Amino acid sequence: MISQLFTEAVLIGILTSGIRLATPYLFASIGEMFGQRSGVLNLGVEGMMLMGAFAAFYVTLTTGSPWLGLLASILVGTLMGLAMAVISVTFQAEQGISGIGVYLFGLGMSELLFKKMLGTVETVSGFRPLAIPVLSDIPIIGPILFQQSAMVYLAYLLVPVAWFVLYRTTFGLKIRAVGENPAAADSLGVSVKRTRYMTVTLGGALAGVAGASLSIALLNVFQQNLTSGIGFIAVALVYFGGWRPYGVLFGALLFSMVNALQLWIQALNIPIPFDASELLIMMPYVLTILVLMFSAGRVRKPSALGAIYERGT
Amino acid sequence: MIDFLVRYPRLGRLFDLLLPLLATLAALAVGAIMLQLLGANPFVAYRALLEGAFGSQNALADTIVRATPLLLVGLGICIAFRAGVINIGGEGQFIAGALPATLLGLSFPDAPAIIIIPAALLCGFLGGAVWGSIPGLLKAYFNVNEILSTIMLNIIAVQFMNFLLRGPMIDPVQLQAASAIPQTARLNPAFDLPRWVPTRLHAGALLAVVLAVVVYILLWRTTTGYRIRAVGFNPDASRYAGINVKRNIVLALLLSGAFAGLAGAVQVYGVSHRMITDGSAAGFTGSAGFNGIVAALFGKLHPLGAIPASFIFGALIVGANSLQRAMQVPAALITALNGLVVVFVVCSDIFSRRLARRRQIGVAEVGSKGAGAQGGGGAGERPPTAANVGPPDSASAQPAPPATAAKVGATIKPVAHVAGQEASSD
Amino acid sequence: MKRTLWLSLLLILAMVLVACGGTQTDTTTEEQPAATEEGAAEEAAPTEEEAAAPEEAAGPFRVAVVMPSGINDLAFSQSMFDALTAIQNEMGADNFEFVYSENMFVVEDAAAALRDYASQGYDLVIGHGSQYGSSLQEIAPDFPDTSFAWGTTVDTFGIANIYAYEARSEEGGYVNGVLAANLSTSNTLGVVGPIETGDAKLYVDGFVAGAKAAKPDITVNVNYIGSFSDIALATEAANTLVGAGADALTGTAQMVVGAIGVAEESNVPWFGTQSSQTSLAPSVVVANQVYDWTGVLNTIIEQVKAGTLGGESFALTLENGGLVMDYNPDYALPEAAKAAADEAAAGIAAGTISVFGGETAAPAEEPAAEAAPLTFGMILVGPKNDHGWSQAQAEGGQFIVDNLPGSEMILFESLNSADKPEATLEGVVDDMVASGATLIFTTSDEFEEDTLAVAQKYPDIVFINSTGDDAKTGEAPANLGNVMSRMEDMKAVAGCAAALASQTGNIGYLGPLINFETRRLASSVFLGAKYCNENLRAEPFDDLGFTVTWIGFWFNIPGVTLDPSEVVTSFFDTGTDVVLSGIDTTEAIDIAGQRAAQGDTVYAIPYDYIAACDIAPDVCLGVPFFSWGPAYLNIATAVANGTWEQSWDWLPADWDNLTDPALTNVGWISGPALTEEMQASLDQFIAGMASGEINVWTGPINLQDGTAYIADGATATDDEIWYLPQLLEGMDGPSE
Repeated sequence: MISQLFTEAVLIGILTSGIRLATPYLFASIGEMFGQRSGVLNLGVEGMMLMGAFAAFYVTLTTGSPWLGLLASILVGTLMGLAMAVISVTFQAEQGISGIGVYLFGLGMSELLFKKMLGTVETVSGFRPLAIPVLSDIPIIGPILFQQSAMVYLAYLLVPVAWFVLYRTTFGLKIRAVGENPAAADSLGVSVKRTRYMTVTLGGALAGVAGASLSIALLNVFQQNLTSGIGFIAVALVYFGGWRPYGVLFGALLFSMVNALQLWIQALNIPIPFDASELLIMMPYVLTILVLMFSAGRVRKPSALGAIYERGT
Repeated sequence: MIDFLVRYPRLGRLFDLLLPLLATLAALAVGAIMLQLLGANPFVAYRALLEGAFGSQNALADTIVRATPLLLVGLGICIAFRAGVINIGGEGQFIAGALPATLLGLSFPDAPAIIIIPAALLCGFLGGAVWGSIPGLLKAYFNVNEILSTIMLNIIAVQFMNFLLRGPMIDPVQLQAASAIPQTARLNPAFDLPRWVPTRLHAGALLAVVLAVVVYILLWRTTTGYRIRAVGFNPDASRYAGINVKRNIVLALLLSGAFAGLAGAVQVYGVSHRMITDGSAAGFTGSAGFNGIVAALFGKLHPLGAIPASFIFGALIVGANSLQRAMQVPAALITALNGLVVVFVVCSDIFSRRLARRRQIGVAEVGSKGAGAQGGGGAGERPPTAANVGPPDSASAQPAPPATAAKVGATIKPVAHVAGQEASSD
Repeated sequence: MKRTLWLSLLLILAMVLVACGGTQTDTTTEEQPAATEEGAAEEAAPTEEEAAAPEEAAGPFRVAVVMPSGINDLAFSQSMFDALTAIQNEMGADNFEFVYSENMFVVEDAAAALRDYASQGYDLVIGHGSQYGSSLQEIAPDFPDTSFAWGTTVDTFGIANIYAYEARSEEGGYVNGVLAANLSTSNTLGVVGPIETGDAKLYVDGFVAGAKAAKPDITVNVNYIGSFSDIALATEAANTLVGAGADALTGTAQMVVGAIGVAEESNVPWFGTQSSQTSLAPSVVVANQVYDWTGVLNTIIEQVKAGTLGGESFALTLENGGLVMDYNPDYALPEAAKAAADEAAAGIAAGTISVFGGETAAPAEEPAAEAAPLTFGMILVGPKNDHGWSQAQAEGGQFIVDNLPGSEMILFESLNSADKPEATLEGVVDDMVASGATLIFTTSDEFEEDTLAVAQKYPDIVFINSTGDDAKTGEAPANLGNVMSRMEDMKAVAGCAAALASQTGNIGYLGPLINFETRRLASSVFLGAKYCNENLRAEPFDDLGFTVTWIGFWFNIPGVTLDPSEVVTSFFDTGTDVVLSGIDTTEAIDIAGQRAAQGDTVYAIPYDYIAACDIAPDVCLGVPFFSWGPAYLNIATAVANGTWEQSWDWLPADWDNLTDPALTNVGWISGPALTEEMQASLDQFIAGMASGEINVWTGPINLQDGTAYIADGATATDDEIWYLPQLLEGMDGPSE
């Protein structure tokens, strides 16, 4: 029965699904990665995603333009990120806990707005799958990679861009310096506060886009708690990826591919031990831990992650 | 204002104590605006909140019942944070404790309660310990970050629970009934924790308070506790001092999970008397695994501080639900409001830290300058007596950036010196 | 510093707000309407008088409902919210008010809400979620003047102020399945489900059954995603199902909203359930099974107004209009598909199609007896849908309701110490009598002693206990009768069939607990098997093996009884190839079906319930069944007419109509696994039994310990059969 999995159609299906599923994780995780590289842990990603998802959905629904919707999600995400920056940088609040607060706020607020402004579940005409000419005709690779929606392409483009910013620009250097040794960076004239404000706000904006990728590209619908834990997994994937863009990409793909695999196993009626679909549903989570167990040895997290920095005297 | 409080230290301590409360009120003030926007009268709404949480014997009992798992989880969180690890796996550990505890009660329905109840609580404690030790071992020996592993383990625990409750552990009646509600049979009523009839208040609340004292003693009066805190404050220095850092990290997460597991067992034997799932973690845990973190922080990560903190947070949850019913505002508002409260309370901590530093500078002006500028906790030097619940501890709540702390902690002494120090999250 | 000041200001403001709130007590109700939404006008905080007298006719009828998800989930919660809104529109806001708490997925919070609403004096408090049952069970007794309702379930716990309601979602699932199968060209359907339980499982199972009924070779792929909220995963599951070849999709619960989009994107038809989902994708939604709770709610409201606060359970069905097949007018549905669906829906409504049991005989049209209205109670030891003893009893009760005009049944199921430790027979009877029952059936020998006690307590109420013998021994007061059918004869037939079919010569009997009844039934099987082995089998076995394993109770109670599944498995593992069930539930045929699927040649004979073969037709040699309807109808008619007299009835089969439950008291229906050859031999045996030529209880018969019991050539008397002291010689297994 397992052999059913190894047909071309199924493998293409798994890869296509996996690539699609990884999209929101990529946006959110890359954003979170910037924050963490500068020393700020933001557990509120889920709340920001929800706010972004709603903003994008509402604007797309009323204007008919998904691009305006995307813009709205960036705006709202930026605001949420800014709020998190105020909390974690200016008020120097304990980051893990304040993230939970931001999450709860976003969860409640997005639903409240949804109830007041829409009232019922609707669908929207968001980003459609966009076949890239020529490339999409390549056998196997074409349908997997080049028949996705614009948001999916954006997510994967973001990875090299993030790498470039982090390792090849002054801004990236500042981020890493601030995350490793804020006091030293400070003494060299890098403003710890400003850098962290920028990364956390950027993280918020990307979390907003991650939300939009759900509400106006992949799902084209908004419902309370639309993200349902994706934001938390996204935070976990930053650790998985060792705070590096390509690591995050690997983590997001691994997690999503395994998830796609378990969906396919069910869809093909392949027998499961004890007839327990739960065993399949656990798979991506178990595998993520297992893979990290055997690969995490050399990864070191940003030294100042989660620590509050206050200028010494 | 800070100057004023520094000058009058007693007022300053009162301020420290009241700060989370004041921040909560501030958040509620923002909430009032939201209520007004929704067309609900905030005065009436908050009156409903207060009455819902404290208005009657039953309301008060409900608040305490809701606070009990928060306190138990919170105790574990205190231990973990003191060791420098963030345990956001409370939800999974809660479930991992509840499952074996329930199974025990179901397996021996005719055994005497005097044996089953303690054994079940022990099962809960051990179940949580096992689930908590997994991220501990992963962190200590495989360098797997605990945030990642606990998030994943939460979901694994939920799926495991769903499988058991709709399969092997399902109520035999449900198995035959078409509805097949995923729940276990009700435990023998003889196993119910003693209850203060007619309210829902059960003996688990008392147990939690007693354990808070135990955890306090563990952390501040035993070598084990000292080691855990030392590891949290400065792992490098601890290592030089001959403390097995890895073992203590595992121990802290194990204990942290154990308390969450115990909370799960107490919830089953005290409140629900069976396990039931709606497919999500929160449906069974009531989000105690997350809210316990918040409650612990409200209590300044001090086991005794967690007692009033969980009570207040429990009241907020119970009262807010009652507000929802009285005003018929969407439940989402309550969620958002809870978020605001959390944010405001964590933000308010800065005032407490500022005050502490100003006091320290005051002390420093008199005495030596020492490490004061980097935030070595002045108050932490005092012997840990019951009197330093709250104020002295929170006064020392200023975390130092690890990079600098490492320099300070090059010898063992400063570690002991900052024994009461709040460990920042790693 | 500035910030500090600013914060202090806020704090002061907050304190003032709260302080003021404490004094503003009288404005409560005036402020309310502004706080409402979506027309749900209500006064949340009732005045003291209202709270004190909840059932006064004056003032509006007030309902509070607690729901696990949002009121706009386009699914379960919304179906209830829509119904309440509709009732309000119909009755007017002056006469009907409702309040709600949504997103109460934390059971503890929901319990607090239910308790609070009850204490506020609402006339009816609804817990709209099956997970709230155990909470209501504890809350309702504290508020005896408040009516509660919960669903989806049939269980009122025997508490007088709880109503239960359920949606038979498998019915619409079946119709949707028939539709989907008709529209599918790829012969593959896809289903997205949350967790494999409850309402969702029923719907999905119904859908699969309907699809298979329409096209037996169709593939239905089901993806359970493990969550009620993960919209993203549900959406990808739909994508996967389409990728795996599905060209029609359905799904249940609130997280499928994104999956509907996938259907639209892929242009495959979608079938909705719970609420109408047409608005989400008008181009592909074909039909929705809509839960319309208004009928049930109106009935409950009327009854509460009339002073009956609970004790009854309701079901939404296609027949009673509670389940509505809502077709999307914009979808060009082919005539043939629509016709097939209509036929399925009509068949289910008429009872000619049972969703999980294929076609069944149409209920016989008996001339309705002229009788006064009668309310009777029926108390079951197991659940009413156990496919076994209790279901057969419940259908006997239903037979009265169907055939005695004006009769009403109060059903209480699963009265046993494992399921409902708090409930007692006396308590249940008290409630039934309070609800007006004048005839009560206590349908287990487990209830024998307690029935004797309540019969003495209520001398004016007629009690019928099956299968006791108090009326025979004279212990019973004049208002207590016993009914038992001569299942022994059908068991002999079953034993005969087993002996004819066995290839190993080893027969297993899955027994419940040990008493006179179970001993004589097991022994009848043995005697039937022995007779047919010796007289009708082409190649008789020299030494027919016959083993009885007692599990300890009528059905499986984990940790208390043996696990019947394991018992059956070990039978099959040790060379037995036919297992007969003597217990109330269906493990024997369940396991046999699984073993056959693995390629083993094994057979099973279930028990009690006429349609039990449907579980695994291919291994079923037949089923001896109880049909209590005719006897119960006679009793009920007599009670209603005041002509009932005490009796101890051991009712024979109607040998000419063994397969017709409307006529015979016990029957036998041969299963598909019986070959024509075997059937011919079996018919010979049945004919012999019917004419009296064959009596398996003819001596010489020795007891298990070798004692002679029935002399050579003699036949056993009724008493000798009824009070059989041991199993018989030749049977393995304990007698005590």
